[in-house]
Amino acid sequence: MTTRARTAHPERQQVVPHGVFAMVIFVLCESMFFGGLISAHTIAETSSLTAWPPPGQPRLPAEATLINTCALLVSGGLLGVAHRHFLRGLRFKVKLPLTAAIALGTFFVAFQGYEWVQLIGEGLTLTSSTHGGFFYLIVGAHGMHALAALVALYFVYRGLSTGKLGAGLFGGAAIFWYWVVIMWPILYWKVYL
Amino acid sequence: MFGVLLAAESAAACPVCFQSANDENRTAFMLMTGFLTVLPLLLIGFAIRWYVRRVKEFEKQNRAHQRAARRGTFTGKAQRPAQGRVLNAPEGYFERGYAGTPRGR
Repeated sequence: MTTRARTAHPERQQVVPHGVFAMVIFVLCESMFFGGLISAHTIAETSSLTAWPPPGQPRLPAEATLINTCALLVSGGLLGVAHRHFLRGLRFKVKLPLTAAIALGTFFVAFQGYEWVQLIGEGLTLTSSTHGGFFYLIVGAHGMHALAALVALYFVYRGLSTGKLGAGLFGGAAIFWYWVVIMWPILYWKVYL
Repeated sequence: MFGVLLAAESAAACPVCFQSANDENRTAFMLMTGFLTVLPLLLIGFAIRWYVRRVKEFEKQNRAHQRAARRGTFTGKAQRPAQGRVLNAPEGYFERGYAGTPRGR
């Protein structure tokens, strides 16, 4: 809002920062997108005439990914701590948990990349089977969201370092990351188990 | 809605459900139809509830500030009127010069 507009409507106040409101709408839309993917996966899984995953396809590394899931959950918790410190005005306490959350999030995405390389080497590709197609589509879509949320968290970190961090940016990025964290166990349960 | 789903089951009107591979698949079709019907309603309901709660919280905070202003009992930073950026702004928030606040602009 420009200074002129602010002067014209001095009584106007925001209930929710624009960034937070926009992110809530975005996250709800993306929840619907993943709802569609989960639904399609369930139908494909139950319509399979053979076992699921199909014979001849590599087994997904559920145990190793469980560790990765834990890393992501801890990352979400650490961001929650950082966000709470920020809202309480304890700015000097924000940086450490925020950095740790970003580091664990980066580990999650990097580990997934490593996992994909292994699986492609074992013969699981987008076109090898319906199972492979769904795996890369669902996990890949989540990974892209995780990457985008990490970029948003990086901007939060930069804003914190330069002292120009708004509540809208932090709130929006935090909501995005919480959503990525909450979404993953559901996808893990549907795809890996 | 569940009544409608049960009626549809007895009629077996949907060729996809009727010709599905097995019972498990047919059940999955039913469940996923329900899931995708309910999910957007839940999400929209959640969004509306969240926003209404924020508005109520905001109005409550504003009323408290107006009462304090009428009594002339502003005693500290925590009682400053809402600046419209965040709810429950922590003490000293507006003095720190964050972007979007009067000092941080």
